[in-house]
Amino acid sequence: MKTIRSDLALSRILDALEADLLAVSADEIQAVAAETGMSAKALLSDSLGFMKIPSPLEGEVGDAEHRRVGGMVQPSRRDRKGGDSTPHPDLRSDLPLKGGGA
Amino acid sequence: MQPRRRSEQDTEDAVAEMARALAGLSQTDMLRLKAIARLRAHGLPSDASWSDLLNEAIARALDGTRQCPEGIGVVAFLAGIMRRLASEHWRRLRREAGIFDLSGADDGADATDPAPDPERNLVILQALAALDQLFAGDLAASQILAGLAAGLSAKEIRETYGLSETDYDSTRKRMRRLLLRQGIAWRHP
Repeated sequence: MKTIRSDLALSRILDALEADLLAVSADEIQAVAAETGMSAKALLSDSLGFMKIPSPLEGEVGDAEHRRVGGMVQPSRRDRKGGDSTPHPDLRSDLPLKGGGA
Repeated sequence: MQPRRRSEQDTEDAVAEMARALAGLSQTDMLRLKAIARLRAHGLPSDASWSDLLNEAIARALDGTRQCPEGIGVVAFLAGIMRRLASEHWRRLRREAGIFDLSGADDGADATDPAPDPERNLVILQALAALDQLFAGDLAASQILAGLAAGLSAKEIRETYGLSETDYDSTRKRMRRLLLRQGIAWRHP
């Protein structure tokens, strides 16, 4: 039995399936999108950073990781360089208390 | 005759034209791009997501690194960039590992490419397994996948597995639908 190189096999499959996706009609895409019960806008909200589409989870509790402003994902607090962040109010609890405390 | 060298102005015009074309993409075409990016991300290491692939393709189209040949639609153009990016990713890893690639090819796997290293082979086998799993339970789809992997034409696949033209076409349609369903579903990368 002839052995096919795995990378070649995958490449051929992906090329053929990609050609199918390129050729599929707009009607078929819209029909599949409709099956999901979500709008195209919502379906695209996780895709294109340059689009000004809010995440479907925007405003949800715990959404800090996914929140976007102007369509761009915001850097996390730990990724920010010094000088451009305002101390979080919670950090005050780390300051020494007036009068010494305990 | 020497091909005309693109002037800076030509490049700027081409980039502006690409920006207009991207801005004018319909939501349907963007869903198509998302499905293609998800498909192309098969075979990439887990630290490279489909949205990275798509955004990098858009960035390259917009900065003029890649220019759209005349007569090629913007979706097909971006799909081509994603294909090359996926290929470049592995070439870069090979270079970083000190394995030199002498094939000179810049897209897709080729029989002249060096055999994949064990890390890539594992990712490829996982991708093939995921695709197989996607169509599990659909014998005709599995047969078509095997035929595509072997580089057979539609006619050769039909003959090899005894599929009628109608069976073949309806199976490809089912496969396309499934790929689309999986490709456009909302999921944060």
